[in-house]
Amino acid sequence: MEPLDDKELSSLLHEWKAPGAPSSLRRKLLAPRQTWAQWLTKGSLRIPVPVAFLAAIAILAVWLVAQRRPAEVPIAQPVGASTLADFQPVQQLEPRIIESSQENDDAPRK
Amino acid sequence: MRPGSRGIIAAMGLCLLVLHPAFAQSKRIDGGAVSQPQFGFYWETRLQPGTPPLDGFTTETTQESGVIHRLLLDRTRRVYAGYDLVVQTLAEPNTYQVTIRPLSMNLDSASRVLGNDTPSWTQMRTPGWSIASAQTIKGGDVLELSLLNNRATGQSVIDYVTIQEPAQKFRGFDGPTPERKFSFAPGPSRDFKAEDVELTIQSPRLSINGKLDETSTKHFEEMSGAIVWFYAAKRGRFLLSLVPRPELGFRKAGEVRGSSLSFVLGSDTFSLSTGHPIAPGQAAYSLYVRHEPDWRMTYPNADLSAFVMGVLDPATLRK
Repeated sequence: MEPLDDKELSSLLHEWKAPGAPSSLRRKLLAPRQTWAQWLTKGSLRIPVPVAFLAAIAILAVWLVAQRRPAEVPIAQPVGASTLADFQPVQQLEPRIIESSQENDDAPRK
Repeated sequence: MRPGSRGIIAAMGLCLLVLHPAFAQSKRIDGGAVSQPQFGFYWETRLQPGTPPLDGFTTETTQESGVIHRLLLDRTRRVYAGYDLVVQTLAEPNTYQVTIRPLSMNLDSASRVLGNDTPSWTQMRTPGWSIASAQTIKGGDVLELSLLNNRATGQSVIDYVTIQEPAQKFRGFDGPTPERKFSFAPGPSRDFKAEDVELTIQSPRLSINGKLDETSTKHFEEMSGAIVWFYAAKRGRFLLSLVPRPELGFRKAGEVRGSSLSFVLGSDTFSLSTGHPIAPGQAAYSLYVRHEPDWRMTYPNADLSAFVMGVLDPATLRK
């Protein structure tokens, strides 16, 4: 077969018909758009691996920090403090005047 | 070491401690006043000697129908003791009759002092806390009431009470008189020492690097003592003293000028503006500070984000 010249090729190109699109491509292109609610339940995200890796590390770090209980710091207790329970009430209450506002008072002074 | 010899050494240590003048000195635990139209009843509770300190101990005074209730409370262990006091004004000027009798509070008064869970408290039995006959005293006389003894430490809890004019009077357009306060120091007198100087912090407003700590604006109390401390969120506790105390880890970090003080630690500047002169005297003074960055309140439901203030006895402080 002899090679075709430009003119012949051009006429042949006009006669050629492109094949129809496959049905699977039609479904993908013409599918109805998802609503937000559908996207939230059925949708997916494409995340680059480095971003996903960093996000996982960040989540793990936050979880570890949240799990860490604050260190128990001992309260500065007074040295050898006693409590009310260590005391016993006096057998008899004996009030006495130890400071008198009267000049010639006979009351005992400490 | 034999167990017996350990006890002897502990007892000797306690004796030496009690013989030391700083430890023999009594320590004020609490004080206050309740007023009736004709007089004011003033009290001060002291621990004699002041060391070792009493932990979790407070006192309260209430009055109803002319009866004054004095209560000693251990809020941690929910134990209390108390007595009633009735004061009558006599015909002779400036003369009063004081009657002391066992504590008797109705449920209302008790719940005001002890809270709603009054039944969970235990009242200490005090059969001897009443006097058969009323005592006649003059206004200004000081009555000593020895209430509790600790046989192990030789300490006593003592109430000092007095009857004087009401704590505050209203003077018409001049407003109320300054609040009258009562204090009584027992024991022999001695010369004044630098270590006796106390700081007074009243209604403090804390600023850190110029920024006001809003939680400090809710404080209107007054704290006085040789060492006054405050806690700031995420910063820990700061102990303040007018005396160097290097053995307790204090270092010169700032100054006191009248009713305000400031100090610098690292790159942070702390300032306290208060409602009362902080130090006695008219000059500006050096301020010594000990910082405890890890200190936190550990009592239940402590608000670690809020400013807190307190007083410490140097004798009870570890380095």
